Amino acid sequence: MGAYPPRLAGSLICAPLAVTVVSPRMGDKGWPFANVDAFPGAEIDLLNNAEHIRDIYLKADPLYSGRYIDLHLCFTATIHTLLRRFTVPVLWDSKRKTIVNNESSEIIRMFNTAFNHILPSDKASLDIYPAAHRAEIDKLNEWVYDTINSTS
Amino acid sequence: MESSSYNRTPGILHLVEGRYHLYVSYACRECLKATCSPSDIDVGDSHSLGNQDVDHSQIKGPGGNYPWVHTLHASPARLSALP
Repeated sequence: MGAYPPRLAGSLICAPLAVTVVSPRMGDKGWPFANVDAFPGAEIDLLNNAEHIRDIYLKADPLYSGRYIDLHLCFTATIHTLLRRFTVPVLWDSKRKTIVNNESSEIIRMFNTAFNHILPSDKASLDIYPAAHRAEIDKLNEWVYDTINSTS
Repeated sequence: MESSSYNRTPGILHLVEGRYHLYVSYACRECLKATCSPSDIDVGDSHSLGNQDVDHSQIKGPGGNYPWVHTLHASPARLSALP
């Protein structure tokens, strides 16, 4: 669910970036690309030749350890999920060979303005994070993040 | 120098070997097509797009430039080690 808003935002503003879709069938190694699981609509990672999204994380940082260990979650999540969270979305910088961000709400904020200088004016003027509604958006997003995206 | 190769598919501008690449889940994939037609992305000489850097001053998060992971996803040590 968390990966959906950034792609929508990127499409709306015609952000100049490529997109790769992982398979929806998560295995013990996390989200696979189509070369591992050829689910209709899933795609092969032509950029990094990764088999799973975790390969992208480990390419950016071989010692990536994921999120904090939350003792509360120990009762509901696997050790794999606990110790290493390889989630989507992932915004990858192919020049610096690293991950820019993996949090959907932050990626959306980036897309809202970061590419404006190379977009046509009608696209650059689109504001998907209007100042008048930011408090409301942030509040709702916090609820979604804490109660849906980050729970096991 | 960034690549200037392009591969346009309906709804999404693909900058093959361009700077930024978004990996996403499968969810709602079908709903996200055709919101950006190829005609919308003819920004002058489109082949120069890949050579333009994004204004990195605008790419900031809680950890400064390139936070790369949300604070809830990373250890403090990892965040402090980021460029």
